[in-house]
This record gives sequence, structure tokens and C-alpha cells, in this order.
Amino acid sequence: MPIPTRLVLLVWTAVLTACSSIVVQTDVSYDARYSATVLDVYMPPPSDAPRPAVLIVHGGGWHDGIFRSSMEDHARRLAEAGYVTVNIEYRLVPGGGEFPHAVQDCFCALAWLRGHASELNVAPDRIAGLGYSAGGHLVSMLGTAASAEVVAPDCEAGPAAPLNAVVSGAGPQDMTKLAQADAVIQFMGGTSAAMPERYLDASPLSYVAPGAPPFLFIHGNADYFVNIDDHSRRMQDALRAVGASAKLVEIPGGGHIWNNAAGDWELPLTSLDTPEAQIALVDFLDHAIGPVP
Amino acid sequence: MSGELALIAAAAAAAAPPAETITTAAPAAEQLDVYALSLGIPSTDGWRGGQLTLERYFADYRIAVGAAAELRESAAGDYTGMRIGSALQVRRFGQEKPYLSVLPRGSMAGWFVGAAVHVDTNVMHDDVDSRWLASTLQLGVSAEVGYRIAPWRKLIITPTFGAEAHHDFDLTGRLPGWNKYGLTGGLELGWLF
Repeated sequence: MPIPTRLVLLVWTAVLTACSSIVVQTDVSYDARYSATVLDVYMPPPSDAPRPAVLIVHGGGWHDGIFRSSMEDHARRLAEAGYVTVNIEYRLVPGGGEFPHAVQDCFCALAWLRGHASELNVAPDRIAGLGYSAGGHLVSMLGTAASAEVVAPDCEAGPAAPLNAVVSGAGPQDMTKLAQADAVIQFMGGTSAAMPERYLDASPLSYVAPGAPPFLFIHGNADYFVNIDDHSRRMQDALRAVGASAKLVEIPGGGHIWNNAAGDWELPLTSLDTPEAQIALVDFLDHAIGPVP
Repeated sequence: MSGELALIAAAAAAAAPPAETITTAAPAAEQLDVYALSLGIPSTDGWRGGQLTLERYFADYRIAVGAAAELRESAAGDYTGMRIGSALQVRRFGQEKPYLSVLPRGSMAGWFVGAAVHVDTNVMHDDVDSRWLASTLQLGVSAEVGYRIAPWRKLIITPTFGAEAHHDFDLTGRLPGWNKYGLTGGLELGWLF
């Protein structure tokens, strides 16, 4: 790399670091049994009062190839807005992440966060989950399936109470409604025809019950991988039917990994990345888990 | 006999009118259309709005300068979001007589490269709680390559591919600004005049 380019990059990095008041701890293990089960903690400037926190779960079809770095800008942005954010990795497929292991890992990460609440100055009853695609599915499970035996974690951090609020971006809510793509079959360990009960066990919709936390769904209405009607709308209806709060931001023309931008289709720009979703997200968090101190 | 034929031929030649001299002037240069009005098809996704672009062509330089305006519903469900956008763009056409064009030589058709700056803003309303939420401002730059097809009369079809970078500002200051980068694909349908 030429020296001037390197110099410019160094200066730019220094400027960014100086401007950011966020402290980041990376690769913190939340379950020592596996190398994949690590997380990054983004700490906002110190505060006297305990702060709300957001557990961030990346997507990628539960499959090896997309990691928590894909959610790093969300973690940093919410931390700069005053939330303690925890951006987690979990076991993927192949590599041990087949259902229910990925869900169990996420419960372990949530239990780890609650267990370290005082150390991180987090209010343990003000923790939201934010995920996109497979991550939207996993945070929805964290919101609804905490008492389900089939996904009960066996890690040292122990079982976890449900999230206090859930933001699911294009998350599958009924696994039986997903197309039988390789990623789905590999995650589930078989087809829906061969194991229908297992698909229901993996569906957040199966666990909706009174007392569910408030949900915000963010979903493009041109999403051909995870259909808005089959997933977010049905889940919203089910939650409202049991008296839970559930809102939906529908992004017109939004796909799963592309969106409208300045008259073009932009890739990768998910519905979660749109200004509209970001406005609704922070407003929802402020109301569901309280404003930041 | 041959002498009679020669006389008849000479008489006929004398009686015939002089051959008309046809002169053809050089063809006049065809008038090029210098304006194009196009609708961005991606912006019509869901048929909840659109983006119109007006271009002015400077044939001597093979450059078209354009201005775009966008208005569309950008959020629905339990929210109402409206996005208003504008852009300035420049395109440099590279072919004198491109394929897939019925337009005269030197028209704004065929391969081009372009660049644009965008400014977008939006407003959001929470319809469940009847509250206005924050607004954002988005500043972006983009570069593109495209091929304008002119298959019939003055109809133009313009697919483009490119890259975009934009910075989003939360006008309330609740969220810090952030940068987003992506690849873009566009398709315009328009008319020359």
C-alpha cells in the first residue's frame, strides 16, 4: 500500500476513534464449551443509572458464511444512542448449529447478559433483542419460547427469562411456511414432511401466549424468501389476539436483501437498514424498554 | 435499309426532349431530441410512488444533465412514511450509432457512464399511537454504467448498474448518522422530445 494511502487511513481511523465514545470488548466467550459462542459488548459513555440493553443476533440462514460483523454498524449505532449492545455469534450449520442448538446458544447469551448485568450497568429487566432474517427468528424464539423444554439451554449461564422486547426484521415465525431450501432443511435436520413436529417446535408462532413481550416487526412487502403475510403479519395477529403489543413496519417494495434507494434497487440494503425502520426501531425501544438515562 | 433506320433514329433523337438533369442536395442533418423524461421502475415497486427524471442533452459533448424528483410511500403497516427525494445527475454517452436504437446518429442512446448526487428526506407517523416520529435526511453519491435502448419511435429503455454510498442523518439527533454502501440496479422507461 503506498505510504500516502496508509497515512490517510491511519488519520481517518484516528479521527473515527476520537469521535466515538463507545468502548468495545470483543470475542467475549459466553459458553466456554464452543469456540463459536462469543460476543462483542458495545458500552456507551458511563452512566449512574442502569441502562437498557439490546442483544443483537445476525442472520444468514443459520448457515456458515455470514457472521456478527454484518450487524456491527447496528450495534455501534445503538450504543452511540445510549444502549448497551451485545452483538452475538452462535453455532452455525455446519458446525453444530442445527436446531435447537442455535436457539439454545442465543438463550445462553441472554442468560450471560443478565448474569453480567451489574458489571455492565445494565437493567436486567430492560433487555430487547434485535435480529434480521434467521436472527429475527432467533430473537422471536427468545421472546416466546423461554419455557419450552425443546430449546432449554444446558450451558453454565443457565436458562433465561424471555426478552423484554423483540425487534424481528424479516424473521421466519412459522417454519412450516418457509420454502424447503437447503439452508432450512440443513438447519432443521430434515424436511417439513419428514418431521412436521420439529418444524412446529422451531416456530416462534407455536409459543405465543399471554404475557408475551412487545414485538416490532420490520419487513419488506416484496420479500420472496420470508413472506411478510406468512410470517410477520401472522405472528402480529397471534400476539395481538393474546393481548400483547405488536407493531409492523412494512417497507413497500422492500426485498430480503435489497431495497429501494434513490430510484434504484440497492443491494445489500435490508428493510432493517432503511431510515424508516431505524426511526421506528429507536422509538419502539424507547417505549418498550424505557429511554436511555 | 440501314440508312433508313439511321435517319429514323436521328429524327427520334432530335424530337426527344433533352434529358432532365436530377440534382440531389446533401441530406439535412436530422434534428436530435434534446430532452428525455423517464420514470424509474424500482421506485414504483408496490405502485406507491415513483421517481421522474428530466434530462437535457448537449449533443456536441455527448453529455446529458438531469434532475430527478421522487415521491413515494416508504413505510406502511402500522406506520405511514413518505419519502421525498431529489437528485442531480450527469451521463456521458459513448457511441455514435449504437445497436438497439432507431434514433438518429449522435442521439442520447447506447452505452453511457454517469454520476449523481442525491438528497432524500422522509417523515414517519405512528398510526397506532397517532404520533409523528422523527425525520431523516439522506445524502448520497452514486456512479453508474448503463445502456439506453431506443426500440421504437422515441421510447427509451435504460437499464443501469452501479454503486452508491449514502449517509443518513436522524434530524432529531436521537441516532447518530451512519454510512451505507451498496450496489445498485436501475431500470428507466422514458420518452424523448
